[in-house]
Amino acid sequence: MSAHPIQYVITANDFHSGAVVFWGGDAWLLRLRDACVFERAEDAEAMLTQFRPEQVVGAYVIEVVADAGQLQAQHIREAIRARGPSNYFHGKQAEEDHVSL
Amino acid sequence: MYRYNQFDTEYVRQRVAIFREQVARRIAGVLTEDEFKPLRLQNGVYLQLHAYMLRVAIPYGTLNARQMRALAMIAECWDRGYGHFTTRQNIQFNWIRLDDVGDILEALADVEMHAIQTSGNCVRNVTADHFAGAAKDEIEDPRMTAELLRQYSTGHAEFAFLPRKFKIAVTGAAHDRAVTAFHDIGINIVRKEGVVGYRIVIGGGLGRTPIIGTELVEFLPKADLLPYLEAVLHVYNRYGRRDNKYKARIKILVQELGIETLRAEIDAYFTATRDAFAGVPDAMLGAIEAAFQPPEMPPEMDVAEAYDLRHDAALSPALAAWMETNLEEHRDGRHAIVSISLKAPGATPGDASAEQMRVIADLAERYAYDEIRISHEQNVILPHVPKAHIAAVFRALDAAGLASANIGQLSDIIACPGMDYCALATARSIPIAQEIATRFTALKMERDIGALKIKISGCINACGHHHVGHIGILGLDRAGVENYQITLGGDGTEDAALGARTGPGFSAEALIPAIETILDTYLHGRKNRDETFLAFYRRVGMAPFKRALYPPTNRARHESAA
Repeated sequence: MSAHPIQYVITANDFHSGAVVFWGGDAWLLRLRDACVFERAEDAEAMLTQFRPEQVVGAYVIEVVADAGQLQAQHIREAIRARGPSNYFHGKQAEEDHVSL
Repeated sequence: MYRYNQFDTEYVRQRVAIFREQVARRIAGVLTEDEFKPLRLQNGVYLQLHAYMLRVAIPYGTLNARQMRALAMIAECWDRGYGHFTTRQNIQFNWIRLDDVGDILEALADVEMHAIQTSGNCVRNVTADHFAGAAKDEIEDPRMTAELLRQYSTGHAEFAFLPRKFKIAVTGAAHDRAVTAFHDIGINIVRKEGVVGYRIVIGGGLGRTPIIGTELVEFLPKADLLPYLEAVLHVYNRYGRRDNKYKARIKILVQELGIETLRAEIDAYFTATRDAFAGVPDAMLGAIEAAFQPPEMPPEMDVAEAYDLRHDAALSPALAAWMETNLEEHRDGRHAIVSISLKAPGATPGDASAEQMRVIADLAERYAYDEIRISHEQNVILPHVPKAHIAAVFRALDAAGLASANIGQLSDIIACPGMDYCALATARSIPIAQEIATRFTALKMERDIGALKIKISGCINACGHHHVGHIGILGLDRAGVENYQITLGGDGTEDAALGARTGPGFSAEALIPAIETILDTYLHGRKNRDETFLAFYRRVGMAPFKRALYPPTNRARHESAA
């Protein structure tokens, strides 16, 4: 377990592409590093009711830690969602700056 | 092979049009996700971890070259250049956009394929022995029965909302390659006093409550199949539990009611409704039987009767090794059954690139009477290859990275998509398969070990069939960290057995050494090379494996981690 404090981020899947997205404060973004970070889980949970349903599917709150300035998902499932599958080098990890939704 | 009649064609086209409209309404915001979800699931569209996933039915695992090329085209146009063949003889595309689904379904309809009933609480794709029509030990081609059931169950109004999904498998051979004992209904084609009929097994299944199916009928006349199965489905629909989805499969009903009570209910309904089916199966079966006649062998094939594969083997050790594992005897002495392994060590089990699909399609067309099968073990079969063409087929496969000589061996691993893709998974399974295959083939242990089935599931739902693996691996989540339980001695064949747990699970890092310990225990303990892993396990039981896996010094550590 990390010594860094646990923080919170909102994630979902884009409704057209199914791509993993993170709430960036005023838009849904593709990179965990661009996510809006909440210090308290309840603030993130409260935000969930604000989203327009046609934008994304299944928004929920995940735990992250900031390690040396890098946001990292606590759970392996969320780490795989943020990075892409581990059997191939594709998904987000292979599409650094030219992803379209 | 079976070709769509006008009814099939219209039905599938209509479904595409209806679903296109549903997608458009969803995109326009008229349907909410909660409203749309059951509609998309009825058309095989899931939302997985990274994208939408489309599951396409391959009825009883049978394809022709044109269909395989269409799958390749879909992989290239709308996915990322590959498809994933599953343990239910289906194919899944992992990177689909919702907006494209209508076009993809249209492309499938063009080649008589669809994604209907590949999800939801209905009768799913009926699976069959992947050597159907070619196997030497076959009484009758099981695909005729499977096709009859496909036609009967597709869009059957009474059974569109069963308590839970319903899986049927059919085998026509003595050796069960279709895992029939672990289906909601397993159908074995049998011969009794010269008459061909069915032995019906009910209530088998894997998942969180693994159960070996129970014999429901010892011998069912062929003409009674549809009324009898309708009675089974009707009784299940009526009494199956809907209060708890983990107790909703028919296997639970069999356990709760008891086989005798259930049989009495089914028989009562069957007796009351049987007459309504009079003549129907005969008429339907006649048309279907015509579609499953063995391919016409060209006259020049007559000279190939004496073709001796040993000449080819002598010319190439690689070909000889491949023939040893990947060829099976065909019922016609001039032919062989070729298994194309989708399990190159280090690759993702069941994945084929678009290019590989096209190579397989070309080979099927050129050498194998345009017939292709997908096995539940996630490999591809060319069921009828003239022996004189085996060497040419091998060379073409080799050039496409498809000539792994490992069928039925250590690296021929079944693995579900696991947490790399699946929204239900609790741990990864593909990287475990990759690591096992890479490590033990590098150690050159595979040939020495011989027949071995390793099956890996990334959650308790058991899509990777871990309960029936000789070595089964189940990935679980322990406080956010992957942990793997091992079972030994499972068997999905006619000698059906559920694997038994070795004991506490292993971390991802400790798992490969644990597998090595299991293999060493076998290699050091077996009587001789003829004693397979499974035979050894049956002889010695769990004790020596337990002793090796959990030595006293480590036991405390394992138990505290459990």
